Amino acid sequence: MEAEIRKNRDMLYYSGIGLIVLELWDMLKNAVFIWLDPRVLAYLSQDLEDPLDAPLYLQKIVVIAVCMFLLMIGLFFRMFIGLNAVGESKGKKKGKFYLIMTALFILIKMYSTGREVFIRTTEQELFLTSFLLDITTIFAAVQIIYRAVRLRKLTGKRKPET
Amino acid sequence: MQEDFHYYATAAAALLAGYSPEESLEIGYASQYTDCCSRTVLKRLKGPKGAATTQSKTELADARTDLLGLQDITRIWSSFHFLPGDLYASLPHRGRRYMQKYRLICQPRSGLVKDTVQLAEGSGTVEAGLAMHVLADTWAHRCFAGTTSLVINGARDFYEIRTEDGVRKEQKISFNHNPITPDDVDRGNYTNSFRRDEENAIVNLGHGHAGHLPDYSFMRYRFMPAWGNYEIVEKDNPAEYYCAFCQMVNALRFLSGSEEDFDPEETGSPEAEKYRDRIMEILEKRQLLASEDWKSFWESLCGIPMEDFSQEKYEREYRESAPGDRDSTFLGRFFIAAMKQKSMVTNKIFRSGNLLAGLSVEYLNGGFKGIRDFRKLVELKERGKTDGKP
Repeated sequence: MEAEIRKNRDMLYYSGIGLIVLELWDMLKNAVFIWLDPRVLAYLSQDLEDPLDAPLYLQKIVVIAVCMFLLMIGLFFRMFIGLNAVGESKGKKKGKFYLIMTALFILIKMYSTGREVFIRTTEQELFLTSFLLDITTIFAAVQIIYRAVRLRKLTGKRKPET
Repeated sequence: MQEDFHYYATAAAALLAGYSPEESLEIGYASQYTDCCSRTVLKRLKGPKGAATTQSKTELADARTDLLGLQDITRIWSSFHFLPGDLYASLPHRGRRYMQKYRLICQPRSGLVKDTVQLAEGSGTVEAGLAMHVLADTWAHRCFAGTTSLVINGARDFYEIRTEDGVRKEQKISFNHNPITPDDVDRGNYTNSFRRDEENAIVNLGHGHAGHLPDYSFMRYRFMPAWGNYEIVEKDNPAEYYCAFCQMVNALRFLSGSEEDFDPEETGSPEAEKYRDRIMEILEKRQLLASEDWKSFWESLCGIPMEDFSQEKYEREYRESAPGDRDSTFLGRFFIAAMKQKSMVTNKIFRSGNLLAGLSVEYLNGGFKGIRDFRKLVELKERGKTDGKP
């Protein structure tokens, strides 16, 4: 049983690290999709009529800020899950909240990955790379839930050291 | 293991087995010379390169890690320092490549240990000394393989185990990768090979990841080997070194003709038991090298001073002999014994279906093909000096 516990801690640790590292890819991908999208480039580079009667540059700043904010939300979301997984792998007691967040993350990621399959707007090579990495991210997140639950069951069964 | 055990302790074991002091020193010398006989030394002596029993650090740094290079490395290290424990081991859900490496893991008390000792039967002190080196190393180097493999020889989570006032304590061992700084036994600071994630990197040979821990007789420690599937391995070097010592006494008694058979499963020795306390005191003393203590023990057994190990002791004799007479010199016999040992182990590995040590040709049946140096074994057989076992 001790070997099983060690194995699960190891897998949980690497899944947590993997999720954080893959977030870097996700941020890069989202940044590319946002800033290199022709419609966004056109909006930022051309003078458009201002329907809200606000200065155009202020509008652009708000758009950029919102995009950055959403990216940061994604970053903190994953960091939260990843760091909690790493902490639990090192023996720290963690609650259920981060596992619930992980499950939510999986659902969101599956939706966005599936959406990308059907409404593809990117180049073939980039899509394939993106798809594979997204699948890896989902797998890492599923591993976190599986390993964390398994670890809690095993440590609960383990007799206290005398 | 180091010079303290291979030379001094082996000589002491030979005394307890009934050899004379001079013979025991020859046995000890041959045992320790197994750690010295590299291709660089052979080149200097103009000896057969096929008789190399080790590789120096420089040779390892320059060693090729392609297929042929890896086979060469495996042949040397598996034959003399990491004798495989079970060439037919099986594990579920493992591929062929993994199992080939797994089967090279060194373990004591194996059939190959018996074969090694029996290979020296009927020969002299030189052959006995070589066999004792191989036998002793199976205890110190167990759980590691004589091939380059991260998935087998990788190891982590080292903890030294000490008992203080009857309480077991574990201290995490920290490693550094500077080979110049000596190991600090008091602070638990040791040197090991740096990590490289390439499977066949030279740093993944043998017990590199464990540093010199297997070679320190006082060390009790636990670690997690890569092949263990997250199981912890505990090593009690004092106890295992004592088993190695007893097994050497038994093997040498067999080789001297005092015993009819050698049983590798037997790890006790009545001759050694009389001196158990003294031996354990030497083994458990926290020091990097126990040569002086073993030397005192040897001297107390026979009452005469013991000469220290000197690599050059027999080299001059070999260099200055006529080419036709070299085989009968001390080192000439050592080289032949080394080639026989390497041939035997490589053949066993090959016949088990494992190609990691390369091909092995049964020259008695198929005629001579292969490395030129090994033709010497065929010639010796033809001259009636050897039994010609592959």
